[in-house]
Amino acid sequence: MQDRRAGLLLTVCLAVACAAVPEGSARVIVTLAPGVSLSDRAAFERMVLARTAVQIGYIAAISDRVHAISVSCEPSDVDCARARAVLMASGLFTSIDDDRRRSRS
Amino acid sequence: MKASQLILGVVALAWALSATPAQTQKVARMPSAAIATDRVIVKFRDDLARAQATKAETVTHDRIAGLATRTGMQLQLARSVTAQVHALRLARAMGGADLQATIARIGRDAAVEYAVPDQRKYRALMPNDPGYGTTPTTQQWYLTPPSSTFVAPIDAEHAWDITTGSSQVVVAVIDSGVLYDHPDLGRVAQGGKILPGYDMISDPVIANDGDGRDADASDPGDWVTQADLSNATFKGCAVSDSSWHGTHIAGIIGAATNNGVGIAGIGWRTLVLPVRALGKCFGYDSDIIAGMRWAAGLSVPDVPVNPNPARVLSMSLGSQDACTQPYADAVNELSRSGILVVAAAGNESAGASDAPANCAGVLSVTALRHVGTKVGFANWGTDVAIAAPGGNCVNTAQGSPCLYPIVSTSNDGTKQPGNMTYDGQLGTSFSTPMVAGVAGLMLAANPNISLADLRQRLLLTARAFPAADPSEPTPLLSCSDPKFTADTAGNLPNDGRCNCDKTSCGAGMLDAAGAVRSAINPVAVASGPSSAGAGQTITIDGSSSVASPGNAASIAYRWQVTGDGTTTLGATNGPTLNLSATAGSYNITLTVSDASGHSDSRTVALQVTANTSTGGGGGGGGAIDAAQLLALVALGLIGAFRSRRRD
Repeated sequence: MQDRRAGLLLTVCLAVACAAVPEGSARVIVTLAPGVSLSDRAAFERMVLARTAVQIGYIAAISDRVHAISVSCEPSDVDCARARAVLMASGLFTSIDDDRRRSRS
Repeated sequence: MKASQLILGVVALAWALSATPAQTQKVARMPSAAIATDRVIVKFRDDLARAQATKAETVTHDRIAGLATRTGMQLQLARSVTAQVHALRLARAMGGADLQATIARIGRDAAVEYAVPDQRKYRALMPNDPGYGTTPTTQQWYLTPPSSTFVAPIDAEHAWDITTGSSQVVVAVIDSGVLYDHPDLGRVAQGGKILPGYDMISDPVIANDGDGRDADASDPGDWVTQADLSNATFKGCAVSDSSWHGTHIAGIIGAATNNGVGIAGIGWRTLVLPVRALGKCFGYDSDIIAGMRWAAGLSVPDVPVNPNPARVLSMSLGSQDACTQPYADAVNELSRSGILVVAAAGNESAGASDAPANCAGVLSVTALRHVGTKVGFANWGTDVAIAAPGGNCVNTAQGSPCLYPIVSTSNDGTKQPGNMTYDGQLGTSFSTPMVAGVAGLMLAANPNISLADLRQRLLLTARAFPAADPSEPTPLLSCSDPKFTADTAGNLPNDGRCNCDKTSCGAGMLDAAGAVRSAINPVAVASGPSSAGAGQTITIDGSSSVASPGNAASIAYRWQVTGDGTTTLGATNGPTLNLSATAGSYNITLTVSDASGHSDSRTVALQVTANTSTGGGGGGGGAIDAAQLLALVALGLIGAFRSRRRD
C-alpha cells in the first residue's frame, strides 16, 4: 500500500471522460463541407434548422473549416445520435465528432 | 471509479517568497559544442613495426609532421595521451563550421583513426535555487543526476553543461492558465519567463473569469463548490480546491533559474506560452484543439495570430477514450509545421494512454517512481513513448507528507489566488513537462533539428529501465506480464506498481543530458549478448546508431575490443561487429562519428566462458565444434585482410 493509497486519499477530481454534457444538448465538433460558409453564424444556424429541422447553436471556432456547435436533442444517446445522423446526411458537414471533456492529468 | 487526477499539496514551501522579488544573478554561460578551441585530439592508426624500429618521440614527431604536410595545416604537439593519441595545437582557435571542417579534414587522413575537438570540460552546472537538490519532500530530486537512491531523475545538470536553453525557443503549456505574478515565473515583458498567451475557454462558466475567449491567460482559479454541482455544466465533477495546475507545469518547464529563489526550471532561458483550455473541472476538446493550433501559430478564427509560436506543446490533460479525428487532424497539421506534441498518458492505472496522448504523432509520457518503477496510478501500454518521474508517496502513513512529490511553483489559494508558494504534486501531468522541457533544451542546442530527429533522439537516448526495486517487499511484476491485470474488484497487483519495459513504459527513462547531447552529436547504440561461449561467433549490432542531425550520409563506425583473452574480429568499421573470443571478460566499444566532427561511444560488456561440453548444449572444455571453427577461420581471414589493407 504505497503510491495508490496516498493518491486515493488525496484525490480531488474524478474522471469526467466523455461524461454528461448540459442536458438538452450535445456538443460536437463539425467539419464544414466544401462550399459551406460559416461567416454569418446566425444565418448558418437558421439555414441548418430549415434544412434539417435540427436546432444547433454556434459555440466556437477551431479553424476556418472546423467548429464547435451544440446540437439540441433530448438527453439520450438515441435522440442525439439521430440528430447527428440527420446533420451528417444534410451534406453540410464532412465529419461530426464528439466535443468531449478532458481533465487534468 | 478510477481517479483521473492526483493533486497533492504536500508541501507549502516558503523559500524566500515573502515580498522580496527574486534577485536575478548573472547566469554563467557554459561552453556549447560549438565553442572555439585551438586543440584537436588525434589518434593515429597502429604502426607497430615502425614504432618498434624507431624511438617513440621520433615516430610521434614524424607522424604529426606528415599529417601537417598532407593536410596543409599547422599542427604542433601539445601533449601526448598515449603512444597513439595526441593533443595537437592548431594555428588558431576556431569553432562551429570551421572547426568541424578542420576535424573532418584531419579525420579523413589515412594515418588517422579518429580526430575530435579537445575542448574544456566543466563540472556539472548546478543552479543556486534552494529548491534544487535531493531532499525528497521539498526539493527537485527529479532534475538531478541519477544515483542508487534516485534512479529515475532526468539529469538536467549535465544537459545544462551543454545549454541552459534559449529565449528563441517557446514551449506552450495547454492547461489551466498561469499565475504571472509568481516570483519564479513573471511576464517576459518584465524580465520574467511567461509570454502573454491566450485564454481559449469559450464557455464563461467553465472559464470562471466572466467571459469566453480572451487574451488573458492568467489562472483565476478552478475551484468547484458543492453549489457548482447543481449546475448541469459540472455534472460528473467533484468538489475541489483550485489546482494551479498550469502554474505547476510552467515552473517545471521554465521557472526562473539560478536566481537564488525557489526552484529551477528545465529551461533556464526557455519561454513558456500559457494557453488556457482547462477551467473549472475540465476543458472541452474544441477549446483544447483551438489552443493547440493557436500555440503553433496557426490561425483560429476570431483570435489574433500568436506572435510567439511554440516549437513544443506540453499537454497534461486527457481522458480514457480513442483519439478522435479532430485531434488526429490537429496533430498532423502541427507535425507538418515541425511542432512536437507531448501529452500525459493519464492517471487511471490503465493499460493504455488517454486521448490525446494516444494520437499518432503525440509523445505519450508515463510516470515513474523515484526508483524507476512505474508509479501505481500511471497508465502504461504499447502507446506510451517514454517515461519520466511523476512523483510517489512511498511509505507514508495517512496524513504524513508525501516523500517524493514533484515540487514546482504553486499557490495556497483554495479559490482565488492567494500567496505564491511551491508545493509537491503527483501525476503523469508532471512527467509530461519534463519531456517537453528537455525538447526545448534540444531545440536550443540545435534550432535546426527536424521534428523526426527530435522525437527519435528523445527516445533513443532514454536510459534503460532498472531491472527491479530491491526495496519492494514482494517483487513487482513486469508491467507487460499477462498477470499484471486487475482483479474482479478492479485492483492491480502491488497497487499498480510494476517493473517497466519497452513495451509498457516506452523507450526508457528520460535522460536530459543524453537527449541534449544527441541534438548536436551522433548517438552510438550497441547491443548484443552479454555472455557467450568460447569460440562462439557473436554479433554486436550498432545499426541503430544515428549521425548528428543533417549528417546521416557521413556516419562512420569504429569498433574496439579490450579484454583479458584473445579475440578474432570481423570488420571493425561497419554497423555490426562479428567476433569470437577465448574465455574472459571483454568490453566492446562502438564509436560513431560523422562530418560534424563530433563522436559518441557506447560500450557493452561481454563475458565469454570456457565451453564445458560439445554440441548444442553449449560449451565443452574449450573444444570448438566444426561450425565454430569455420566461423573463426572466416573471421581470421577477414581480420587478416583488413590488417593488410590498413598497412
